[in-house]
Amino acid sequence: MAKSICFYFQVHQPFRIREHKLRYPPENHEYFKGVTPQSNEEIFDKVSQKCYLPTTKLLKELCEQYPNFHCAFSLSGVFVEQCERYTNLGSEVLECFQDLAKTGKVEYLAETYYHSLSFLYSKAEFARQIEMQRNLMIKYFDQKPTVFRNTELIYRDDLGEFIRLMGYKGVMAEGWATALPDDNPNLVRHAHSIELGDSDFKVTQAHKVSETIPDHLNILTKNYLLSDDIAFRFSQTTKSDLPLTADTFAQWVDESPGDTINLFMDFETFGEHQWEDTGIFEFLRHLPKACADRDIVFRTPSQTIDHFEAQHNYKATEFISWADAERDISAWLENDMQRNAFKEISRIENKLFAHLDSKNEAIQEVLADFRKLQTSDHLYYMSTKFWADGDVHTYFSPYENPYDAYINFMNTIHHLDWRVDLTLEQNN
Amino acid sequence: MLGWEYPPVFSGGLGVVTKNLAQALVHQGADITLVLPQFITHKIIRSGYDPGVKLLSFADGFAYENQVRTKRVPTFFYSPYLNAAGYKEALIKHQNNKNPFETDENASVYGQDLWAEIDRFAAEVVALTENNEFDLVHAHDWITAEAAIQLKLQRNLNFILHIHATEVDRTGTTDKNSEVFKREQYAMQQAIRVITVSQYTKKILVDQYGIDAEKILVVYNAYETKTPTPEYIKARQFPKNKKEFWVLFIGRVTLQKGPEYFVETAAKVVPHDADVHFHIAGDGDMMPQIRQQIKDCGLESNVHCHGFLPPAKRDALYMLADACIIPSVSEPFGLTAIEVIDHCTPLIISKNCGANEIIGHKLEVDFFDTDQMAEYVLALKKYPELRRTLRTKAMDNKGRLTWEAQASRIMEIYENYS
Repeated sequence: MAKSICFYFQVHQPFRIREHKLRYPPENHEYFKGVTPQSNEEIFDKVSQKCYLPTTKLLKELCEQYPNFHCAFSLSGVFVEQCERYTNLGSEVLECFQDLAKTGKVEYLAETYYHSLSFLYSKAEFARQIEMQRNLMIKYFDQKPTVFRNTELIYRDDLGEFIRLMGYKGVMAEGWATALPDDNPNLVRHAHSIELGDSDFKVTQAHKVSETIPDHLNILTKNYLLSDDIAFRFSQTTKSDLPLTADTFAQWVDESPGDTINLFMDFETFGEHQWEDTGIFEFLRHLPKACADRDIVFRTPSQTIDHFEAQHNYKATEFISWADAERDISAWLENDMQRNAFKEISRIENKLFAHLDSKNEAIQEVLADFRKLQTSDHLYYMSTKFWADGDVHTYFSPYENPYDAYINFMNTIHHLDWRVDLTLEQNN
Repeated sequence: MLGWEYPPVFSGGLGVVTKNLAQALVHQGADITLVLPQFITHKIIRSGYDPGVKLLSFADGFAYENQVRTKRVPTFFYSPYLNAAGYKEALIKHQNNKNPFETDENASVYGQDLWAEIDRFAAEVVALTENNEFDLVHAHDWITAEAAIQLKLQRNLNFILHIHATEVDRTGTTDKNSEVFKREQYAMQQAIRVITVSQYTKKILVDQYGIDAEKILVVYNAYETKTPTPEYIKARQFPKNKKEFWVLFIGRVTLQKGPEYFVETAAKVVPHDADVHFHIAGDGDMMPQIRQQIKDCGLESNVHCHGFLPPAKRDALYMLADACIIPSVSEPFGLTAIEVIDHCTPLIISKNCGANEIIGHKLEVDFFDTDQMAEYVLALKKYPELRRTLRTKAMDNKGRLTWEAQASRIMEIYENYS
């Protein structure tokens, strides 16, 4: 059976928080405007120019030129919201993604709208955020997602079961040895099934997306070695085979055991993390041809699940993610500051729990702000894992250090907390 | 090795550094003779310590202090922070001193101005080395550099200049015509290698003094953890109310250390939170100005001046403090910063501080940015998890630098040039 590549690109931009001083509380609630040193819109425009626009155009060409080429995207809701909001390039970027959808060769996945850790503190909020993002995918791409990816591929058996009960047929996860019985990430897996409690089951049924619940949940596991050869190591000169050519890479794929090579990465790999002058675009341009020469095809996640028979179980009793060397949730919840900030999110979520569906405008407004604060990036910036993985955290952070990230977040969420109390009181 | 101050008498951190470094070098096989100025005795009496070492007069031979062969030369530069005017003033005061416990048999030989005294010290050092075979000279700071230059001329000995502070740090200006600046620059040019205690200082040498970066080696200071003494436990009895939040300034109260920014920060914090108390442990030429500033801002009940504290009491303050601010205008290294980290006290520190380069977990600020310092103090008080993370992570900073490791880097230079 011909081997295939499953390409999935993550597209996400957080709403970074503006500076909030304790001595000078803000005059308005625009937490996400006027962020320094670069505004959210400036960053969006920069990444659009370097990555979103050129790469989507290139992928469209590849879709049109090569019958065997397919790929998948997961767009966070906050990314789409930035496309809607930022007048300079937003609509152009969104159109490019729509053009890709129109080729019929690109699949859009489900995820939480706010790119959040909501599964860890509220199943109801988690299900709600999935629904919100799904509505965007239907609205802009006319696609009903059937495969789910959680924030930074965070996965555990109960999460898988939750997603299956909502009616999804597959989940993307990290190909980490502890979850794989044979250490081979290149096979479609069935999720290890466990039973959920009644209350969680009820939540899944209130938010289910299909009348029939699939018998099994399929797991596609990231081949992190080959994925990172592109995403992180492409321009590093330490590896002997460099510069990495499409042909060499196709050969590596060909030599790998298994059915499907799952290449999962941030979309910003193309042009932003790896700049154009590294040759990353040329690499991508030549990859379909190099693969075709070796009878390797490209399949979307849905096609991969449908095409191959699932083998063995993927079992994760603890959380697994694609982040840092540990592949756990320590990138967001390792130090006291992160756990404290997380606790604040849970606490406020509890307060708002009864109002998650509120149609009241004032409540909706604080809810929207609160949800933007739930984006996992804010916790990621607070990581103190300086000496090993810290460099990656620093690269992505708008703050000079994790302490500033924590202080600014806490100052902001306390201000929001005060607004929540005020709003709930006024609307009681 | 031409040292400067030495325990137990010192006005800065250099004494501790000289002692630890010399000991570590001896331990690694270097045959070191440490030449030190012999301080006038009243200085030691006034400091309140038992000197613990025999103070030699010029006529005596070599002594061993902390396993290091030592020679003390009587002199009257009583501080490396001395300027020409200060020297003159102090000398006159000293010569008119009628206190019988503080008489100094060498008083009559001291140079009439600072430069003459430096030349005299240099001549004494050259005379001292007449019958000894030395391979290399290691001089600490500008004040001993003239002696090193004379040894180079008269004894044909290469010297390494170890810079712990520059005139740029001490005065906060870059007056390239000042006598001290010119002497420092000349000494750096004459030295075969220059050692700085941070990249920060290396950059000053390159940018301000025009020294070739290739010639400069950075060797950070290390810090040895002290074990608490019973006196230390006793000193923990500072009265502290539980709801109070203590912020510390420890260091000389002088321009270089930025004490006025500490008080300015207090003035911005106290109106928001009167439970925050600011403690100044240290003395210096700016003390009257600082007291006036405290009065002008009406901060008498929240800013407390303790004067110079003995180490045990300082340690106690470190323990009790919820935060420490080091607002130095320019600090080549800043051993105080390492002490703060050693006590796991949350640290707010000026960006112009060399020790930053080896401390990962701290809150960094521009020394003049008292708005940000005030924000950090208030945040530290408001968020215990911020304090806890800084305290826990402070442990990660430690144990990376030892005197043995630093000495072995210097041994490499010794071997190359001897």
